[in-house]
Amino acid sequence: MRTKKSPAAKKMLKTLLIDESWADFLAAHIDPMFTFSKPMAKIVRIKPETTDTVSFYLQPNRHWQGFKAGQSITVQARSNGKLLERMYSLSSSPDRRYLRITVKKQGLVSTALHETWQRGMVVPISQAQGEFCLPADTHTPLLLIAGGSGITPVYSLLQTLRGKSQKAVLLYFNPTAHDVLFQTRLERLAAQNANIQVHFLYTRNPANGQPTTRLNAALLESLGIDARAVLTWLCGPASLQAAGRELWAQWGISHRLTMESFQIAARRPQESSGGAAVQVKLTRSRRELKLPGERPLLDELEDAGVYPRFGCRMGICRTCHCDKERGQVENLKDGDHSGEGREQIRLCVSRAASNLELNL
Amino acid sequence: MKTELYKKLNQSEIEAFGQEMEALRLEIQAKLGQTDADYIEAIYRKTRYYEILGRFFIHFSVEPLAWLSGVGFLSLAKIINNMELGHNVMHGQYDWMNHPELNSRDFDWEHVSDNEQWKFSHNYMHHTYTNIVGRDHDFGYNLLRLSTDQQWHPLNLPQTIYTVVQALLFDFGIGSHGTTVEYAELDPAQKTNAQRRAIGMRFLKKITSQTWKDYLLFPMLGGLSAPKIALGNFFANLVRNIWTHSVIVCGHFTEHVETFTTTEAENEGIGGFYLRQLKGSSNLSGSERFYMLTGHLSHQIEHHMFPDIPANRYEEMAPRVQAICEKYGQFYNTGGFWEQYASVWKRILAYSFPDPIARQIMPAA
Repeated sequence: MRTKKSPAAKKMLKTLLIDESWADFLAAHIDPMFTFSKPMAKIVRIKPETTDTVSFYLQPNRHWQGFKAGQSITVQARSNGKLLERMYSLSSSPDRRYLRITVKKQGLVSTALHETWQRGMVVPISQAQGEFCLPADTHTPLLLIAGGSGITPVYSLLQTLRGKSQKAVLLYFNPTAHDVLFQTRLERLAAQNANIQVHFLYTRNPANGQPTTRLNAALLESLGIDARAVLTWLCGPASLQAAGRELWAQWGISHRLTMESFQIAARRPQESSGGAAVQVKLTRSRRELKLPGERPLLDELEDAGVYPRFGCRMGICRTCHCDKERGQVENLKDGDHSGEGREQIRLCVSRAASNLELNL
Repeated sequence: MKTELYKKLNQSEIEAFGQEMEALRLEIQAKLGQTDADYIEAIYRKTRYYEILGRFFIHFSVEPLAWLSGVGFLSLAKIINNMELGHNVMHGQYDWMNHPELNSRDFDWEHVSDNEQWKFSHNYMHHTYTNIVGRDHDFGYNLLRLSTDQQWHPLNLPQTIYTVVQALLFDFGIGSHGTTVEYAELDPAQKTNAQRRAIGMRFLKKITSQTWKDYLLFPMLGGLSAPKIALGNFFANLVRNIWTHSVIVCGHFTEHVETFTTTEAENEGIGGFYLRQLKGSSNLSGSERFYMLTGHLSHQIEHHMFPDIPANRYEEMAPRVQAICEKYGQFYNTGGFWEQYASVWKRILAYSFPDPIARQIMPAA
């Protein structure tokens, strides 16, 4: 996790040649929240939201530098000895003292969080990150589209629009009525604020005999929304993102759409073919490996017994940043190919497109 | 005479031997998980608590016994930090954990040796070219003659004394060895004075931070007790040096350990690699606590065969390795600490003389 530094204390430690982790270790015996520069947070409340989703209320320590609505934090969980990280959007409003993340149990990290996080525990968190924030423009009406747990940053955005004049319409997609998060709170927001409208839409099994709906031109028309006249924020699963991206591109207004997701959109094969198409030279450990060159370098290196540091594994946190000395890689997130020379690459989203030399 | 210990194998037997060892390695690697992570984190905590206790007693003792117990705890802290924690973490054994500190890139040990220089001379040079005379700088540390493959020279005569000095100053010995190896392995074109300075500076940086901690920072914190504290820290370093030296020399310098020439090791294949690691290493037998205090270098054979398997697994792998060795008629070099340590001194003494005399002292030469 990348954390910003708190200058004075860190400088003092450095001058005295005292290792910061030692200092934190000693301080933790008095209070684990007391660190020299690492942001930590205490779990003050755990609230079940649906059958598989839980909200964790976190109280950050003094190193927390605040956040803008729509941003996320990175948290850690241990799974079979391995330290994994994931980013979760803050669903709370920035003016509150606590932070809230809402976690759906659907993978290794989320399961570990559900099973190991207890009230009173102090956990490391990152500073806020991300650009899924409200625009400087406070007049153009906003269209907020959320799917499933993608409501988390959107709910945070909505809360900052309370009592403002800027209009906002929320389209909240879920498979069934049981999956809806923050329903009561969203309804109350809409009821108490004239500028906010909320529509609950169901893609699989709606209640009350309503028809199933998808994000498409017909839906927007039926709701009287002109995509060209609004700024749109979308957060949700890959399918919702794809639908949004295509529609907005069709209308030639892709620049009016801002999206956020924590899943790599690029589909990549999970199993290796076991091929050995590229030669990768690790200059620091003086090893030469033959890799298939199909999946992200991080995965293929790990298969070969090399374990670079990693974080989010989706190209955002830069923990796996590595110097590529030579060779070409493909960025699996956007399909771009790199140059042939020296540059910094993110191992988790780069695929070896030619023989490589890495400073590992 | 020494070849009787290790039955001569043909090509297909060597390959089969290698395959069985590989299978064992993959089997254990698949089992790595929570237990290994918990183990190394417990060791990390142990070194910290021992250091706190050690320094506390050294600082606040009012009579010699308490002070000595402080020295004892601090010695243990340094030993465990250097061996069970540092050596194994820097080998990358726990990199799979993605731990922010206990990984081979970030971890820096409480030792004057620069960790990058050590990793180069140890992980790369020593482990790749184990016991190949002329390539493995660790074999004799460019100081001792320990094999007939090394030419005798009159300067070898006092090498028992060199060893004593090296043992007492072992941390500096390793540190300077790291700089020697880094420089020696540069391309001829890069062997400039500027490089020599840069390499030396890295070592100096480490010497500074370690000296600051043990001989300036903590003594100053003790005010008038500064001499007592500096002395305590000095003795802790000395104990660490003598202990680590003894354990490490038992790994490759015992009586029956073999050396190799570059030609012998050429095209050795996986099987040949495992055989060279086996013949070039020797183990120590003892209790579990003993194994931990040696950083599992008690299992030098297993460590050399599987340097990136977490060391806590070596104990369970040892019987399997032994069984495979027996199956192929290979000697599994192990013994009690004093037995192996004595044979090291015998070897050092023997090779301080030319070969004919050496063979009188140590028949296996």
